[in-house]
Amino acid sequence: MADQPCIIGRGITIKGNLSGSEQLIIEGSVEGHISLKEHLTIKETGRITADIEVESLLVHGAVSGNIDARDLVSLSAEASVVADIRAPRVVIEDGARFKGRIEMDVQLPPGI
Amino acid sequence: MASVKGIGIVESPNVTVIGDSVRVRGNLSGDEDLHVLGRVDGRIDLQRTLIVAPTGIVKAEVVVKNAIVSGVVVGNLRATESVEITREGRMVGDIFAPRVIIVDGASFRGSVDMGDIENMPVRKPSAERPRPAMTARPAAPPAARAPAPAPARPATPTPPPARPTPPPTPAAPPPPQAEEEEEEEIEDGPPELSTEPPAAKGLPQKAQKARVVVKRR
Amino acid sequence: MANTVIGNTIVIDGEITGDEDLTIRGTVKGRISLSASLIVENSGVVEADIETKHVEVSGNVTGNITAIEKVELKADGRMVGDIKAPRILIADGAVFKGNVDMER
Repeated sequence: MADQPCIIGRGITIKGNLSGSEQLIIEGSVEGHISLKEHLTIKETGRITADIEVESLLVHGAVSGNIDARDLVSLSAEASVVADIRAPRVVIEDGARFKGRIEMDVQLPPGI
Repeated sequence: MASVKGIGIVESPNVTVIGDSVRVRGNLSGDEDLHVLGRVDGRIDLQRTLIVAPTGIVKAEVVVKNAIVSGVVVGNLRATESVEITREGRMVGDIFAPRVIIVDGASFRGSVDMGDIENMPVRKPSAERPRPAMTARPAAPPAARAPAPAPARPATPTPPPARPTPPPTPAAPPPPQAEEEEEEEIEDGPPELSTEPPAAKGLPQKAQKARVVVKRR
Repeated sequence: MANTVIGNTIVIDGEITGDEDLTIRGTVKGRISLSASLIVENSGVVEADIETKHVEVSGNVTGNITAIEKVELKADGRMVGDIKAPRILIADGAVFKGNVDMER
């Protein structure tokens, strides 16, 4: 059966811990902790107040919490994020609102 | 102002270029764009745009209007308009700017503070974006007046739909000069320059006034 | 309208509230409070008290269910807990242990 990502709809609010190993799309609200072994998309209506551990993350909505990803974290133009982000790749698109820290691995030339 | 041509110097409109063999230690300030292909240690205060080319290294406290980082920046960066770290950019330090763009491939470690984001209106990615047109191509081919033809954008791998409109001419001749300066002395700007509609409002570059000062080592 | 689906590898430990339909294929522990319909599919495991308009259980539910309209235990449904709803349907094959209250 084709694997379609799960969707947590706009009208749903989850308070607690959410974990899983499949792709997830959140359009509603989550407060607590998210731990996903796959890609997470937070849509424009998504409101997350949680620490997030994911494979990769795409944010179009609002996130407040710490973000730890194994791959790309991307904040789209509509995103509003207050978080400390730790990931090997981070993209902030023009228009995204962000406040927090970003920890990527930075290779500096010797002698700096 | 006489324009100096030579290795490491790019003749261009109102931009100061620090060539890739040049190292500056101290405070740099000014009201024009600064293009760093070499190294600056100390402090940079500009009322315009700082462009750090892929070969550039800036280890300094930076206060500018806009910054486009395609090289290495170590230090805090404060911009009144925007900061962009391009695919080849590497930065360690804190960024304070209302608009920050980090392109896939960039490396960054530090904090980002856009101010009061709660009350920031959702902004459509603006068509006005600093054009990092002059990405390190110091050797201006003699004939080429225009600052080395730079790739339209320092390679943004996945241009999000919102990408600002690229400079009118694909060949990316120096982006249109800022409207403000248009009237000024265009001492015979290269044809392209003058015809360019002032598109990219966001960033710098432009102007005619070929005046380049480069300190040689 | 998005149809919320909690996939089968998803585990939620906490409280879910909402006003849209919810389909559970994964695991939910805690509380569920919906003003729409809840469907617990075969692979779904719910250890929670449920308040909803309508529930259809084909999976495993441990907890009390209060439904405004109807509760259906399908043939592969298994439930331990109390049901309070005006209409109840327990299919042949379903396994149920608990109290039923159909007072209107």
